[in-house]
Amino acid sequence: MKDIDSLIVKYLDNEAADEEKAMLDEWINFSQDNKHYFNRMVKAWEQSRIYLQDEGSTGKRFLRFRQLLHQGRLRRIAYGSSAAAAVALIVLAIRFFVPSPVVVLLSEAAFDQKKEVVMPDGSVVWLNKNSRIQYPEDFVSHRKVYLTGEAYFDVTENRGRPFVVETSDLTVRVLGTRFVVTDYNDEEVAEAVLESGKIQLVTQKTGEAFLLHPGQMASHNRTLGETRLESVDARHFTDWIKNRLVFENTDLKDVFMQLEKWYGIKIKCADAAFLQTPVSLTVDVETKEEILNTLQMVVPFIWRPEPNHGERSPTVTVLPALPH
Amino acid sequence: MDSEYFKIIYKKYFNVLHAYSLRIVLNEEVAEDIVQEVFLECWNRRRSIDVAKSMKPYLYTLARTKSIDYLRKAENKNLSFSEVETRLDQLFFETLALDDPVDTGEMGQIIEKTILSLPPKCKKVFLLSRKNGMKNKQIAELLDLSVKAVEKHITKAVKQIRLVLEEKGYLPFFLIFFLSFYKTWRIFPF
Repeated sequence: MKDIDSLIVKYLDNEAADEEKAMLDEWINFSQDNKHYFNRMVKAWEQSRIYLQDEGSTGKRFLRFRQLLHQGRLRRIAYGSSAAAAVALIVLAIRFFVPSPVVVLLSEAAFDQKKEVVMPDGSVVWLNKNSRIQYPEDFVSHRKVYLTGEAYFDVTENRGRPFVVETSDLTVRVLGTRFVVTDYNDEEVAEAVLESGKIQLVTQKTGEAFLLHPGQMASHNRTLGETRLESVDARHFTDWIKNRLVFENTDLKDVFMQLEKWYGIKIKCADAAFLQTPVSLTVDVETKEEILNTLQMVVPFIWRPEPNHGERSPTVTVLPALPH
Repeated sequence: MDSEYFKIIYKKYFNVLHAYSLRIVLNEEVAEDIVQEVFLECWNRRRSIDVAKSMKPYLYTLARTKSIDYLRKAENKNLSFSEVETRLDQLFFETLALDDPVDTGEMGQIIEKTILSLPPKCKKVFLLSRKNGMKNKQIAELLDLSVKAVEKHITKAVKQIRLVLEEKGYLPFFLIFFLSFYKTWRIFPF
């Protein structure tokens, strides 16, 4: 059996010579058991290809796939008669990705879902819940995006054409980088967090300019008109893109803030001392009820949903169970 | 089929479909374009694809059809694939195109654990082969081993995965074959 295993694997990896293939074929057709054994080896081989693949390179291919949808053509090979069919389906696909061709294009994520948008230049924008972007039709020559809410940008580098993100209070100018901008109109603070690359941030009202380095966050307080720079762990701010939130010794206050964005809810809690309790947890696919119930076991508190009077986001009230 | 689901399917099967197409067209870039086309076609038909049924047989069949189509159209190549495709190749295709057992998300962990339990050299060789996509000869040169030794390590790893998957009930002793899907998909012109 030993040599047979190696023959099978060589065949599967396309490393077998013709004589070896012939030998294997003969062996397989010798009995049903041999054939079944071959089947199981194929499955094991296939699973190893699936689960051990390099996710980075598959990710790149997926990015190219989305660019193909936009460009409407395959770069390298032409297929003769099947090319017409490929073009037809690409046209359909573009309709799905980009709304009708008006002067300003709009992409919007509803209050309970996140959304991924591929821009015509290949940049990718992940919109958090309750967020939207608008951009001009000739985006490729004027890379400018108007944002309400929160979005993570993975910008395609193009030194000749800066990528600009505008919100009601901030202007962020980019060369090619990954960063998050948060500006919900009903929140007091607008933020930009830089993961890699370099961005320049200008406040609309005062015209102050800041240069951000990776791992830095600029937070702009609308009411006071003040802007602060601080060092942060960028992952805490970009986790929502990955469909996973990780907290390590994070203040309950920040945990609640992230959960609010994650679930599109409001969490009310008036006890400032209680909000400083550090907690560690990972949120994956749990519902908000499940996660609040899990949190209760770590930090004693009670919570209840507030009756909804037509507000955009449901509200939950949290009360510490123990006096401080 | 929504875009989230599509992305999961894409990321799961791209690599293995690429490996399959490459056997036929023998050109990395052509194989990549073919698999991208397979997914373009899937994306286009997403509204009519029933998510409850597995897409796997469909994906493999499309990859096979398109690869053979490419060979037919490539210049200076008049041989049809049926002349090159052996009985063994057909059995391989039919096995691959079979549906996977339902994966509750455990499969990846099982395989990862199995790999971690392999002897260090075997693990290294296998990861270079699977993750880095290196050919046996390249691995042999890199690690200063004989090609035979590399083959031995890879065989051991695949065999170990087979054993563990069998133990966990993911690989029934015999797989049900020649299901109707194969006939259904024969509407494609090959």
